[in-house]
Amino acid sequence: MKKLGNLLRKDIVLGIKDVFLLLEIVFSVIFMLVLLFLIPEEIRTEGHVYIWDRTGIIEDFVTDYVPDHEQSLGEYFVSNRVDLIAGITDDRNAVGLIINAAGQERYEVEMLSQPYTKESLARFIEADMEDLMNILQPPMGRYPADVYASVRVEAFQRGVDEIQPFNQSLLAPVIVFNIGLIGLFAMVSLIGQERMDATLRAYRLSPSGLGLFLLSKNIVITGVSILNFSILYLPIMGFSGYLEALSVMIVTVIAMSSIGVALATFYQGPLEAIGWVFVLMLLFALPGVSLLNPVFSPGWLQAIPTFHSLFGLDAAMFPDNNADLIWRSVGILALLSAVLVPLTGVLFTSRIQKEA
Amino acid sequence: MSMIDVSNLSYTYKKGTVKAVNDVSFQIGKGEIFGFLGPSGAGKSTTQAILAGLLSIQSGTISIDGNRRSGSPGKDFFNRIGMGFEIPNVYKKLSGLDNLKFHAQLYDRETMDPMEVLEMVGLAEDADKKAGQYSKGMKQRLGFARSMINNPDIWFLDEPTMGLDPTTANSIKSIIRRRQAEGTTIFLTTHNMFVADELCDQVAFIVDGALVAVDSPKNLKLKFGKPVARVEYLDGGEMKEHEFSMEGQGKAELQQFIGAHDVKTIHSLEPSLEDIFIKLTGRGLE
Repeated sequence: MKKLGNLLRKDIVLGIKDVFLLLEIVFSVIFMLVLLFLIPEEIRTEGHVYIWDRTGIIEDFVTDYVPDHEQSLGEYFVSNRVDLIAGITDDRNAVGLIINAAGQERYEVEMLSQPYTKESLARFIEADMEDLMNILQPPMGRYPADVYASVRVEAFQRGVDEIQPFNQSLLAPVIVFNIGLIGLFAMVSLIGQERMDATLRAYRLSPSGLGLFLLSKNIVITGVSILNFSILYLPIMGFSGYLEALSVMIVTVIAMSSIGVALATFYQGPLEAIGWVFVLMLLFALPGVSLLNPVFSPGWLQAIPTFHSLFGLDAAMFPDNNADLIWRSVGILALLSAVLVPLTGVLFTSRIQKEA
Repeated sequence: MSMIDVSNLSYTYKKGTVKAVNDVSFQIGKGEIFGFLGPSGAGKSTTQAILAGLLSIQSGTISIDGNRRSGSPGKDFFNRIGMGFEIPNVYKKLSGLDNLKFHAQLYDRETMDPMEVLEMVGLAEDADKKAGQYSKGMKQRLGFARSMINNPDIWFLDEPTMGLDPTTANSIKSIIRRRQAEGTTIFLTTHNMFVADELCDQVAFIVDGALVAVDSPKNLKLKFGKPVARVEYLDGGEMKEHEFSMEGQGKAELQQFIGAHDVKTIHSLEPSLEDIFIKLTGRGLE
């Protein structure tokens, strides 16, 4: 512990004196201020519904009483499944509803959703149907008729339009980029500096092992990342989902740092490795596109570790009955770290020991 | 018993290429200063790196204090050694004192007081200055100071006086002698024959990875030098020189010459280690 404390003290002092740790904190503050004050807090996504109403109940009512329903309600009535599918294929913010009668007092709704349609929207449509059907043609409903004598179903949500906290939705990519990917660069930088200055060579001739050397750097990077994460997260999100998001972030940083160790094994300094760092940063930033624009979501994206970081963070920040997604992301990243940390450690140690 | 026993040591950086160290054998006694002399690229640093545990043994054996090394050396070995590098490798953003404090805490044995060590190498006044602001010579001294912070039993020194002014070089040499007197075994890598001649009990000449000679400087001079005395004398107002062999008839001839001429100076022309090195290898040390 004494040796680890000694290494930590040195790495913290060097990190501060080499400016990059301070720089990372400054960047976090800047990003936080930009997200808080420059990025709009909310943006509205206009949603639409394509409806094939085979009962005619809803269609008759809406077309009679709301003639401009396409503009005001975003509801489009179609007369077959093909048109409905064509509608929601062209309009990525739309869902489709097929309303069928099931006997005199029952109806059934088939919903055709987008892959990213939120469960809350589906629930709203379900409740809204119940509300309308029961008003327009009582006791038409999905439940036994006597239920409606004592229960009134009412949908309170404003509609299918979605109000998104835009600055908050940008937070996950910012965290992954500023903390996870910088963690990778920081590791390359910290080790690279020691290799270039040959201080690592002097260290190797001491009885303190290379494992301790790497552990100290990992702890410093993780500690600084927790600080940066808190600077970014707390002012924007408060304590909502803080611990869950922190768990995702910590395993991300550990995985990214171990990739940094691998790079530092093959390159003497951060400048030599800059090409790889740049390529990896671009690759790891790619899942951010999918998060912000769900239309882009090829399966192979899941092979990129930051995919799990981003969606895990997003799930922690915007709870939507998706707690399993958070812990699945933490699990995948922890597993990845459990493989990468010893693997890159052994790679680093064996390769460095071949250098005079 | 020898402190370091090296037998048939060979090392190649890449398979199929020339051996950087080729079948090298030598012994170093406890408390001895062993000089490893050779031109750049001769295999000095590679041999030292293998001995210090930076490089693994490819072929041959190394025994330290009677224990044959197998695989990487353990913590016990690293606790007992110190190494001063030719190029100063210190943390430039840390002060001289913090550099030594950091290094001292890496060891499991009692270490020297960092401030005391800085005083020994003449850096006490600059103890709190960042090492990056030190001159090259100061960094060199700081690296030297770091190498002895753990009171090493075996001390590897690579060109310890290179780039230092004569006064500082002398104080470094006196520290080396003092540590030797305290029982430290010192492996000195250099291409400075004067330093080797002055400090070493034994020297080894290495060229192209192979040892050419291992002996004490005195024995090497006796073995390979030609004892000659050079006489300067006045002859008709003009200063002239004449050389006499110190073997056989030469001594009598010299005595006769002194009686017959106005002799001004007599110098013994003892060969330097470099002369012997050139004689043995056909090339210089630089």
